[in-house]
Amino acid sequence: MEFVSHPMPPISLLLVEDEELTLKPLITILTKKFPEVSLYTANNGRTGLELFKAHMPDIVITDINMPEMDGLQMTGKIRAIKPGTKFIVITSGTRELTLETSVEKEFEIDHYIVKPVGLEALFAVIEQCLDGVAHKKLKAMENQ
Amino acid sequence: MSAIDRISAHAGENILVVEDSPTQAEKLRYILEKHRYRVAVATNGSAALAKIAGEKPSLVISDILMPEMDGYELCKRIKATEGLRDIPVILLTSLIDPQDVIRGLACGADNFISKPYNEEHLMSRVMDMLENRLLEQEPNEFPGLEINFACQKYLITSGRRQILDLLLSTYEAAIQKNSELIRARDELHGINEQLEQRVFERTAELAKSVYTLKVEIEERKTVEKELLRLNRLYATLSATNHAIAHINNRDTLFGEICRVSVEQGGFLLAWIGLLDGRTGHVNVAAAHGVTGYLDGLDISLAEDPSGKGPTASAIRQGSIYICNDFLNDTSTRPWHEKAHAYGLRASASETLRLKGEVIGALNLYAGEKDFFDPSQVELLKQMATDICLAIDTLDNETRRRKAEQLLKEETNERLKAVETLREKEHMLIQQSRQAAMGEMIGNIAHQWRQPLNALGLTVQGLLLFYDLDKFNREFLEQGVSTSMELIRHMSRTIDDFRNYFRPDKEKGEFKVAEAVENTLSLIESSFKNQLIDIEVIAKDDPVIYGYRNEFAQALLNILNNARDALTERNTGDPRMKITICSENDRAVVTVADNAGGISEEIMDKIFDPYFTTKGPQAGTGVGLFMSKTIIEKNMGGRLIACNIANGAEFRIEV
Repeated sequence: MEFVSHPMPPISLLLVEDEELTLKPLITILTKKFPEVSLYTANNGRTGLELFKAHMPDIVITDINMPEMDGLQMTGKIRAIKPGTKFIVITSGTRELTLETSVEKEFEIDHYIVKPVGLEALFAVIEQCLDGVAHKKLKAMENQ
Repeated sequence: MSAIDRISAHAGENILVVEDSPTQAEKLRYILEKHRYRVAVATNGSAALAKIAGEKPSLVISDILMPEMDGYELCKRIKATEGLRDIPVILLTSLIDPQDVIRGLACGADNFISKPYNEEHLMSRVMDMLENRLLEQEPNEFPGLEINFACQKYLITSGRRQILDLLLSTYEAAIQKNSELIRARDELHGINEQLEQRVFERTAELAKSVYTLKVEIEERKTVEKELLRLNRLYATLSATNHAIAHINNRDTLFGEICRVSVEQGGFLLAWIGLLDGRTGHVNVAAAHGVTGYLDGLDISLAEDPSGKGPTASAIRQGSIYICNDFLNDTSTRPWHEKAHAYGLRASASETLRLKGEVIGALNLYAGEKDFFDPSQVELLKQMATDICLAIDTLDNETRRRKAEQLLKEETNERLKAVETLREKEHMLIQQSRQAAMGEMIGNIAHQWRQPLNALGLTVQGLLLFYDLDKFNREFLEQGVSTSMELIRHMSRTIDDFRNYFRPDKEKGEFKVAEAVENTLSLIESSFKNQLIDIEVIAKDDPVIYGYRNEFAQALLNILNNARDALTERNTGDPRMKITICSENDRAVVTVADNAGGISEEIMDKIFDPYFTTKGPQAGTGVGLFMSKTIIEKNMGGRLIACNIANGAEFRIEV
C-alpha cells in the first residue's frame, strides 16, 4: 500500500453566495488556502445548480437566503443528482430556525457555519470534507 | 174799657214827670205823649215843687230815689201844701218792701206804680187817677194812724180810698209778680220737661248705640277670632311652603309640616299617616304636639271601628274629613276617652296623594269645638295640595337622583373602561414603539450582517496571508481599504437610523423621492433578505411641506405592512412597486404589492386602531392607524387602500 506516493486526486468546490461583500474575500481566501482545489462560484441557487451539473464538484459551500433559488432548494436538487456531495451551509444567525427545520427534514447538511464566518472553523470543516472526499476517491482508485 | 180807648177823655191834660234819670224821664214822656198828654219833666224834688206851684199839673208821677229830695218827701210836701194837695201823686216804686208801702202811705201818695212797669199798666193807672180826681173827695175825718213797723213809727194820714188804691196797687203788683212768677215757673217747667225729654231721648239713643256697639264688638271679636285662626293657618301654609321649598327629603318635610302646624297653626296635634297598601294599616310617618295621643293608636282601613275614624274615612273617600265635635261624634267613639284626656275637640284629616294616588293623610287637631269653618277647610285643602305637589316633586327628584346615580355609575364604569382602554392603548403604543425599535434593530442587524461578515473575513485574511507567506504591502493596503469601506458603510447606516428616529422639530420642505429613498435604505437589507423585489418609479419630483420623518414613518408602516403580508402569505416572487407622481398639485405616492389583496370584510377596518390580522406577536394594530393619523391629521392629506389585480395598493396624497 503506497498511500503517500499516490498523487492527490483532483477535488473541486462550489461556492454559492449572493452577497458580493462576502463572496469576494472568500474567493481570495479559499484560493490561497486551498490552491489544489478547483473553485467554482455562483451568486444564486440557479447558477449554482447549473455549475454543479457542469462540473460535479465534491463539496458545496452555500448561503441559504438567496434570490432566484435559495440554498436549501438547491441542496435538495443537487443531492438528487449526486447523493454523496458534501454540504457546508453558511447562514445568518437569524435563519437558524430555518436551518434546523431543514436538518429535521433530512436535507443531510454536513456542516453549517454562522456568520460572521470564522476562518478556523470554516477551514476545519472544509478540511474534514476534503479528507472524506480524498479518502473516498483513493478507495475508488484502489478498487480500480 | 181799655186804656187806649179812654185817651180822648183826658187828652191834653198836664202831667209832671219827676225823674232824675233822663232816659227814664224820656221813656215816660214818650209813653204819655203818645197818649196825647202834655208832659213836663223835673229832674228833682225842688224843681218839681216849683213847677207844680206854677203850672198846677193834673197829675204828678215821681220817682222815689232822687238826690236832694226823694219822692216821699216831694209827695209829703205836695200833700202838705194847700191848693196843691188835691193833685194826685203816683210814686214809681218797686213795692217789694213793706216799708215802701208804709212810707208811701205815710207820705200821702195816691198811687203806686211798680218798676218795671209796662205801658198798659201805667196808662191804666194814670187814667184811673185822672178819673178818681173828679170823684168827690171824702172828708178826711181820719185822724191819722200811727204804725210801728220795723222799729219805726209811721203816721198814716191817707184816706181810705188812698189806702185802698194803694192796697189794690200792691195787690195788682203782687198778682202781676205772681203771674210773672207762675209764667216763669211754667216756662221753667216747660224747659225742664223739654230738657228731660231730650235727656230721655239722648239716653235712649245712647243706650241704642251702646247696644249696637256691644253687638259690633261681639261680632268683631268673633271675626277677630276667626281672623286669628285664619292668620295662623295662613302662617302655617306659608311655613309649609317655605319647608317645601327648602327641604328635599320627604321624611324631613313631613316632620317640618307637623311642627309648623303645631307651632304656627296653633293646633294641639299634627301628624301624617301613610297607608301601608299591603296591610291596610295607617302608620305614623311624622307627628308633632301632644303625640302621646298617638301611642298605641290603631288606625286601618279595616271594616271595624278602627277603620271608621276621620283619618281612615279621609283616605277611603279621597277627600278632606272634618270632625268638628270630636268627643261626641259616633265615628270617633273608639278615641273619645283618649281625645278627652289630651284636650282634642275637633279634627281635620286631609288626604295626601302621590301622582294622584292617595297615600295617606295629614291630620290636625284643635282644642275647640267647631274649629274648622269653611275658610279653614279651604286653606287646609290648599295646604294639602301644596304638600302633594311637593311629594310629587320629591318623588321625581328621588327618581331623577337614582337615574343620575345610575348614570354616574355607568359613566364611571365607562370612564374606567376608557381608562383601561387608554392604559391598553398606552401599553400598545409602548409595545408598538418597542416593536418598531425591534424592527429597526433587526434592520440594522440586516444592514450590518454582511459588512460585518466581510470585515471579519478581510481581517482574518490578513493573518492567513501572513501565515501562507503571501502577505505583502499591496495585500495589506487592499485589506485596509476594503475594511475602511465596510466601516464607513456601517457608520452611514447608523446615521441613517439616527436621522430617522430624530423627531421633526419643525415643518420643512422635502422631496418625496428622497424621503422614499431614505426609507427604503433603512429596510432594503431586510427586504432583500426576504427576497422582496422593490421597484421605484418616480414619474415626477414632487415636494411636500411638512414633517419629513413623520412622512417617512407613515410610508415605512405601509411598507412593513406589505412586507408582512407577503411573508405571511408566502407569496412566490414577492414584489412591491412604489410610484411617485404629482396629481392636481398634490404629491402622490402609491405602494402596491402582489400579496393577494385585502379581504373585503376587513377593508373598512384596516385603519382602525388595534385592528390587526397578524396575531399578538407580530402585530400591534397601530401601524396603519398611525400612518393614517400622520397623513390625514398632521399633514392634511389622504391615505386610502384598495385592491388591485393581485394585491393591495395604498395611496398617499399630500
